[in-house]
Amino acid sequence: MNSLRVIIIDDDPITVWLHQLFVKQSELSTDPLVFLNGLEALHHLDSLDHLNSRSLLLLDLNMPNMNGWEILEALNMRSYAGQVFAIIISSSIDTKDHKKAKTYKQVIGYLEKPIKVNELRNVMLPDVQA
Amino acid sequence: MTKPIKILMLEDTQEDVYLIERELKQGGIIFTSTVVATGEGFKQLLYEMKPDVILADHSLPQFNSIEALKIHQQYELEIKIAVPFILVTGSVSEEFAAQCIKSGADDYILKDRLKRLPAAICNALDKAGIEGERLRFLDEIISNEAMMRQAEQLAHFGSWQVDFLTGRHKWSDETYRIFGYEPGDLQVTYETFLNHIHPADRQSLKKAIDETILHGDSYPCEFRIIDKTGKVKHILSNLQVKRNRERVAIQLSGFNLDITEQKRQTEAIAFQNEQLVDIAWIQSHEVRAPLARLMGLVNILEGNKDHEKYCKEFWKPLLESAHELDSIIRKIVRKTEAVGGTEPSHE
Repeated sequence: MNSLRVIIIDDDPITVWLHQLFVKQSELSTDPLVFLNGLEALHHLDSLDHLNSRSLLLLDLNMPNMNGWEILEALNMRSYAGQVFAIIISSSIDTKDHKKAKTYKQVIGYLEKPIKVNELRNVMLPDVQA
Repeated sequence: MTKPIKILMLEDTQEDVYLIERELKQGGIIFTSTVVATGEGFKQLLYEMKPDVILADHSLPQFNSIEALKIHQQYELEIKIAVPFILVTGSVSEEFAAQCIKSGADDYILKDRLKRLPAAICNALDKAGIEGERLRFLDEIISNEAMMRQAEQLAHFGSWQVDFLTGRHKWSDETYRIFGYEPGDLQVTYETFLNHIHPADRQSLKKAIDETILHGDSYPCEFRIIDKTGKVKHILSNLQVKRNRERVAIQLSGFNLDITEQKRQTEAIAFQNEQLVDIAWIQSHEVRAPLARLMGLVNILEGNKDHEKYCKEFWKPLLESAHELDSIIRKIVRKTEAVGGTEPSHE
């Protein structure tokens, strides 16, 4: 049980393509889901059964329509919020964004683009609570 | 000991000079005297010796006291000191005496009543002292006023006053200019003022002025006016209410400072700041995106032995990222150029 679902959310196709490659190489997941649009990703999450699985979002911040912060805000309201984690992957090197990210409980990491395979290998999810 | 009084005597009869001097000595006047009998000499001595008192006979062979009075008056205006002019003469008609006083003589003494002369001199000197004060005071006021006018003009700073007892409105020269008029162009009223206030500011300002007159002492405010030529100006103002003992408002006064230019500069700086914040944002977010992509792609190429296969797949995204980076950098350059300009230009 307790499988891990990896979801890449980024509006840039090339970046998505790169990140897919890295996720597979890092053996984090053999089949990551991809969304170029934050709202679609959220709808998909809503449709999932979260009882026996956890999700890890590789989340871009700067996106049109619904940006990374808005997705995090929306997740906070969801009943399954405790089953979803996020690693921010942003091209921003603005320290304000780093600080802001720490205020969300789902956020377990902050990576600056370009990311490296090793950085994904080192990802550790918090222990499952009994 | 008091300084002797310097007397300039316009007299052609040596005997009369003797009589006058004797009378002055008897009257206890300490003096030095110089006698002159011609118009030329009178004028010259007036400026040279600067007498304290002038005693003049009415008629001389080529000169008379009316002429002398004209010279004397001109002299007083120039040096701004009053010098008593006393006519000492044989019998003259009442009309002539009145004429002399009108022309500026301070007193007249008949030669057969010289006893009155010492007292007349003392009197005239006292009066001249007061008159001199007045002349100097007036001079000071005039020069202060000139300074104030100049200061107002330089600083675009106009003052105004409303007297509630007479209902009279008074604007300083610069207040007229701020409202687009030449000083004194028109008789101003409260309506003149209100009509020039920008319609968007008129009601609130009117209310604030009414409130201040009723309950306040002063009221600093900022509003816009539309001057005679239709130009919108920003005005910084302060109203002040003067009240009588019953606390009833009797006067409203204030100043208007034309701050249009400062406002424009502040807005230009605010616009520049906005652009700089934008540029900083673009640099940290937008520039980094294609750059990060380029770096990511190159990283993969570097770590992979199968170059041939990847190169074909990668050249397109690499080129696209490079072009995107280029267009963002061009956008920053355009924004930076806009910051250099003075006028905000909206795209």
